[in-house]
Amino acid sequence: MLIGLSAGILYPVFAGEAGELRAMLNGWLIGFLGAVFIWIFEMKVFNPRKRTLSFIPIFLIKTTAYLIGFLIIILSVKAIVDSLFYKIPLWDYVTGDEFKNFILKEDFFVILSYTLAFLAIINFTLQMSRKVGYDMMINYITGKYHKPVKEERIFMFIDMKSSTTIAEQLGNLKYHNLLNDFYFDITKCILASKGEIYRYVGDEIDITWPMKRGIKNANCIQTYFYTLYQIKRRKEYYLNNYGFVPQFTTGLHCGVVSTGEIGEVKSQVVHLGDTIQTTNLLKNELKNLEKQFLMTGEILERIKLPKPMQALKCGHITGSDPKGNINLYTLVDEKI
Amino acid sequence: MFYNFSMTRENSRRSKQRYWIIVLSVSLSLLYAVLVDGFTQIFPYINTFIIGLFISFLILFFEFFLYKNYLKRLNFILILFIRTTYYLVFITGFMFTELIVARMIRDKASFSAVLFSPEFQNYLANEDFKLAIVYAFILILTFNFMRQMNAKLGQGNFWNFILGRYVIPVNQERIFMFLKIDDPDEKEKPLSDLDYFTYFNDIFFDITDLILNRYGEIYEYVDNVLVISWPPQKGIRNSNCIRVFFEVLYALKENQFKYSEKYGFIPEIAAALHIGEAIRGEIGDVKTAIIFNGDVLNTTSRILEQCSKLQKQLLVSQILLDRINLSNIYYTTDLGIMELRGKKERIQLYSIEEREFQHV
Repeated sequence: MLIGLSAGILYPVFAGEAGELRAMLNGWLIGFLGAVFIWIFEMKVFNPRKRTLSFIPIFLIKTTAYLIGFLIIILSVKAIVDSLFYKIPLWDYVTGDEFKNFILKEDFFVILSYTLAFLAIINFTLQMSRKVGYDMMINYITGKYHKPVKEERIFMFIDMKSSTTIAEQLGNLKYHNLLNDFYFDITKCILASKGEIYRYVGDEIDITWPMKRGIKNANCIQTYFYTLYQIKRRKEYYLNNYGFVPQFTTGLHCGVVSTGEIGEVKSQVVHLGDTIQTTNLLKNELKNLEKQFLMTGEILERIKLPKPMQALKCGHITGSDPKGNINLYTLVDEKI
Repeated sequence: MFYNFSMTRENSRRSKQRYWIIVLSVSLSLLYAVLVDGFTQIFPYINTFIIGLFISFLILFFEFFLYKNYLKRLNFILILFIRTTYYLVFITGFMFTELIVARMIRDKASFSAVLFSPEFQNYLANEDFKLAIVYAFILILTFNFMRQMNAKLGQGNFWNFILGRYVIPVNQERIFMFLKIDDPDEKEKPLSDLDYFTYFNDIFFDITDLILNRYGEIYEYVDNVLVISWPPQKGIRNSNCIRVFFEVLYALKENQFKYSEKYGFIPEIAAALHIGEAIRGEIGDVKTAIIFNGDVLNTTSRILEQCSKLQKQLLVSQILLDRINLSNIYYTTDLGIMELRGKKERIQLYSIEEREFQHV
């Protein structure tokens, strides 16, 4: 959305040719309205559920829709501003000669082709960075992790329960679709709580936050609850299509990791360190303790829990950590 | 010292690439001439043909000769910057001289006479020349950006995303290789986390080209295991999927002093090869990945576990070996029918080794 808005602000640079007040005003108005239009379109009309189309159709649909939208905006802004400027009633101006001239003149086509090129570039980058992951695109280009760095991060995994039996029951193709549906639902929740998708490992999705961002508003815990309700809300869809509702387990941990890029081709940004290993240990504990959610003491002491929630100690793991045991907590609703 | 394997290595993929680059850039620049000047004159065609030829040699020189390890390991923006300026400077410089020389021949005039002739001065002052430079700059920048992005995402994945090839998952038969590289954590002196990255990157940058030359597609890095896949014909032809293992082995031996000096040990590798059907499809809305899903992946990773158990470097399943016409520089050992962890079906495994050759 930021890109859309800044593009709207940049637009006058291209459109407002002469520095003439009227042209500048036109440009700014068009840019602003255009950005609002893109924002509404992205948020309301083109929400992720409908994004199961492939790249090129989405690209074409979006670009034409934006172009038509911009066309209407440009023409109406021009008409309104000019009619006010010349103090002619709007209808007379629209049917008048000057407006007809404007549309048939070459200038209009130049503006139109600029708009088209601009929209195409914006749409392309937006879509590509969605595919690659917004944070990833920036990391690749700026080379943030080109040299490995140490940083504090929060890690969380959401693991689908008994996926092997499910895979055998459904067959490979249907299982793939199930995973995809499941990931689509989770992605929504992750984005809402400002998480970054680290990777997909089989039936598991790994999510990470920089320490500050994850702790703020207890974002990392929110993700878990968003997901819980999201899957509940879509219960019927899963039941109709796959015959059951996917269940999942979640572990949450934080600490210092080293982050760096690996590989020449198909480079991946990888996190390494004890923190990752401890997070992996949580998977076993989830099975042993028969819990759906576990978090470590490390993260609990940094987070302010949302009101009705309370942490309940339910075990510990002996890590390689020199500090000794790491306490495990699960969350309970106080009211229950 | 070691049997020089590279003697038998034919770089067919690279030489194919070279032809493609020449053909593409010449035809692109001819296309430019058509778009700008139409079909009326022959003169622009000769110009652009020579320019296209020169550009293709520029590309070959940079990508195949200059683009070595030290350049590869710079970061994205720096490489993009170096590439773009390199091409822009040489291409505009060449265009400039080429235009003068062409006019010298046409008008039979001297270099400076052409340079200061009103016609040429006009041409420079004219929009046309600036437009050509801008056109070249934008083309070079987009082209290189896409190329580098494509490499980051894995071979062809950029286009797979754009063309939406795997939006609807497809069932594919693929050859999979799980290539395990020595984990420094298991050594006497473990590396620090940060050295860990340089260790793996050192190795990956040494071996990636070898894998690409053998048409392997790098699928993912899972801790210390590199997963490579082939479409069946490409992997089977020329025993590509087996040869690549030995090429990697020799590449690491070639660099053994570098590794032992830097990390205190020489990395060893082991690999498992298997063929089977897997679902390939896009997954996830944000940070979309194109993944393989199938039993063959589990089986291959189980075969890899057998490598350390049986003290073998390369294990191949029978179904794959049956389809490969193995060169006689290798010999196979039948290891019998093996039971794999967590698998009901049992699988016949072979190990492959290279024959020792006497040096003449």
